[in-house]
Amino acid sequence: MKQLLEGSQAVAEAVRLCRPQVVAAYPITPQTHIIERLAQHVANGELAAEFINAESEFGAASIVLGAVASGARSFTATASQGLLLMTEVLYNIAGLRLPVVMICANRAVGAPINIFSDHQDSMSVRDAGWIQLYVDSNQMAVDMLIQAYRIAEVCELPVMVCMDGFLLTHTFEPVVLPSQAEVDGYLPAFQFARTLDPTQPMTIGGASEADNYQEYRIAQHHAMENSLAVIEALDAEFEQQFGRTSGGLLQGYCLDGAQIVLLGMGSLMGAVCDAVDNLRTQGEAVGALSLRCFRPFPAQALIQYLSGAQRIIVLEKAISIGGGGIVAAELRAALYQAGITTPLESVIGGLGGRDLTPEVIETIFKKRVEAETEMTNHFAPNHIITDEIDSGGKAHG
Amino acid sequence: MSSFHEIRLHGRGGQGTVSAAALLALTAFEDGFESQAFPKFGSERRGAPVEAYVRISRSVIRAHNQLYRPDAVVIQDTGLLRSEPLLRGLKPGGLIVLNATEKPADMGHSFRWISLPASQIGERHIGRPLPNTVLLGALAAGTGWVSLRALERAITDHLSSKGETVVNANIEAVREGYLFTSNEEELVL
Amino acid sequence: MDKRDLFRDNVLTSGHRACSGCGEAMAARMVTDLIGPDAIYINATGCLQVFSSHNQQSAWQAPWIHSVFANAAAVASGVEAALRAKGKNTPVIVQAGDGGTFDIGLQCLSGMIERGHDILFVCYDNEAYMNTGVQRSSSTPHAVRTTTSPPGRLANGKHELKKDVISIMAAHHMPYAATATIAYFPDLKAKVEKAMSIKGPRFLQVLSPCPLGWMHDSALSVTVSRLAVETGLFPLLELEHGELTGVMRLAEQKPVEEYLRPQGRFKHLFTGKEGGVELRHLQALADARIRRYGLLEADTKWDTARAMQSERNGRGGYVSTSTSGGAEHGA
Repeated sequence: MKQLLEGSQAVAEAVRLCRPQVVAAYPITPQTHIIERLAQHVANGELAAEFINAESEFGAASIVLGAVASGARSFTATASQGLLLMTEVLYNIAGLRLPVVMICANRAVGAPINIFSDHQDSMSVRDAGWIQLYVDSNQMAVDMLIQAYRIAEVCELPVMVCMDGFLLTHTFEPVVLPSQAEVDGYLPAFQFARTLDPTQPMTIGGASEADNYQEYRIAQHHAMENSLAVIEALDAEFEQQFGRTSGGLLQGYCLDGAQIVLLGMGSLMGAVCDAVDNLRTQGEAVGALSLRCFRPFPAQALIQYLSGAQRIIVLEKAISIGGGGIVAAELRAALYQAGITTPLESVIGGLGGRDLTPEVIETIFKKRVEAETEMTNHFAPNHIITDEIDSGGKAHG
Repeated sequence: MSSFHEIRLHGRGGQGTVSAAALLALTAFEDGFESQAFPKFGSERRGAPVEAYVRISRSVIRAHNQLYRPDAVVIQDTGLLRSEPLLRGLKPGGLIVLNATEKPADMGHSFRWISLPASQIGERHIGRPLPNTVLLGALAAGTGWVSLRALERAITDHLSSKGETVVNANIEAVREGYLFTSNEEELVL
Repeated sequence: MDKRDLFRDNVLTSGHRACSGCGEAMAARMVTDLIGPDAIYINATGCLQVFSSHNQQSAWQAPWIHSVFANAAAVASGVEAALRAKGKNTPVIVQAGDGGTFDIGLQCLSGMIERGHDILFVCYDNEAYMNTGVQRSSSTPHAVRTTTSPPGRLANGKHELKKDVISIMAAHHMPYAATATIAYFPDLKAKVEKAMSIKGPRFLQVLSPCPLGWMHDSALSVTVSRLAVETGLFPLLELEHGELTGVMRLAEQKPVEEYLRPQGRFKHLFTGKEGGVELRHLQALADARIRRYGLLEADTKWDTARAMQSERNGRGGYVSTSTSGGAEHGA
């Protein structure tokens, strides 16, 4: 049924429909509305789960680690400083190949402390061994969350659904929530062989040395690479059952005849698509590509989509300080490997809640297209209201 | 009439500004539109200025950026006029719905104004000086963007957990806000 | 097939890589055998984890998990929550060293207790970071030499006192918290059995000498841990819901020097110029603990002399000593 729901509430309902048995969390803005809603569901008897109020995000991640290792489907959510506090455990969950699912309500990282949205938190843990899926809208957050449990449990890899804080979590918009029967049809009960069970005693998390450690890491890497096909297949299966796609690894917009492609991740893609519409009416041969899956990095799929482009502009809401745009660097490496030397612009913006409006994106587009040479690591301009209407407000200010 | 509207609501923490935005989006949704509501992001503090935003559209709303050029502004507390640039970005000919017993003397600019004593109306029906639903009634009457029927249905859905008394009181409040505005001659400057 | 029956005598089986005379290995063998294989064990990073799970080998004959250093109590919380969700009541046991309890693991441990998880947390306290080569922890006693609290012209070993972790546990008003050592097996057994009979969060601090870090003869681990008790430096206590409910009475108080002399970690106190001051300080600390817990006059069925007697009867000696043995202990 299509309903108007706050993003946090919508994903909390999706979590409930996935029937986790253990939910552990520590509050942090802007993740709080998600876990508050889940706590209420448990209190009302609408979700048969143990709700564990952890003493920190480090504890929350550890609790879901223990729960999944004991064979219980689990859920946690965090953001920003909380995600970084989890970092050690995130690597551990991935190394133990535990199918934990979490939501990162994407938020900037301090200092200076900032509660607003960008992708610095999840991008900072990109090497931890988690599948990372970025969503454009609350509908996609719901759909991806349900898919995330399937992907995690099929691949025995943890999945992080990255959902822009405030921009999605605190926004009310129409969302179709599937029924319990529909979700049960897509997501079977959690079956996990490597669990802590006295009848089949297993040692989990033992030490390793130079003669085999690398093999563990290679196996983990291969599992991540293999998950690319699983993510696509499970999205196709989801589409077949629910009539909606989350795009799998990535989703194009107006790419037919597009010479210039704007690429980005997350909720900024709405404004990008609006900008593309405006630019198309101005006769620009422009399209957009929304990168849903950042880990594993879908190099082949990206090359397929981008091989015809004459210029690529990557917009990203995180920065590797001293390095620059992270998505741009990885994409450039993938294209180079495929022998594609299309000029690729790296634009960093939207940091700490800075707004990326269609107007800003059009400005970026026009500036970059006029530029003769390929440039790296620009910073997006501010959204500025220039017309005289603005003075009306100031008269009262 | 354009099929895309952006509305900004101003109030203070505790006045139900964000709730009103959600309610307006829900109303538009009930009327068959696509809609979106979101607060001015940040910490919530009682008594502090609060803003919330609504988009109403015939087609799917993809954008998740902020809203800068509202077609209407709803002001729940006249005291905010002294400290906040409440009319910033309001489109020429845009509508201002103001919770006030009198129209402000210094209005200037080519905007449409609706003033009504929404707190008093709210107090009479709800028992507390809550202006938010009354102002939504006025906005609906002043713009025709959403129907009174959908507004009542949205209130019934949105407040159902608070009981029938609360729902009925709010429906009475929203009706009075709607009728007040329908009967009042709009002041155009 | 139940794989448990294939080969197993002990939960922590032989062939692991602990040092000779390792107090922690002895303590873990005792505790886990008392609890048995029908439990889930969560281990913090540390000596026990390293010597029992080395490089694709495992000494564990029960389900066992190690995640990271600080989070054993939180992982256990998740395990226990999962078991509760599944309607199972398998015992959940945490094993950690003093670093994983007093220092880096304290926050998760406090959270575990505050939330009331049904878990026994066992701390094998060897009073320093032995796994990394004997660095000072907050459990390291006053005046001890470690690699990061070395004696020198300006220092006599660790300046600060050993953290009173059992009082921190008691301040949580948890159902059961106790101290024990490997020197008094009947006492340890009674405490493990008592802990296992209680629901909710429980805590057991087992003093576990480390011949490497304490610098004593490997054959003296049990002797040294007994002397820690007999001098009053390590009182054997039971606390229920924050109240002291049992102490092991001392037949007589031995001077701290008897405990300190065999240990190289205190050697500088007997050779250095200012060692005498520290020796008096340590004696004063022991005297204070004896007074605080009434170790010389407490009315208790247990005392060190009786415990010694029961121990001479062998491992099962606790049962054979008297009819008024451990079952009533601390009740």
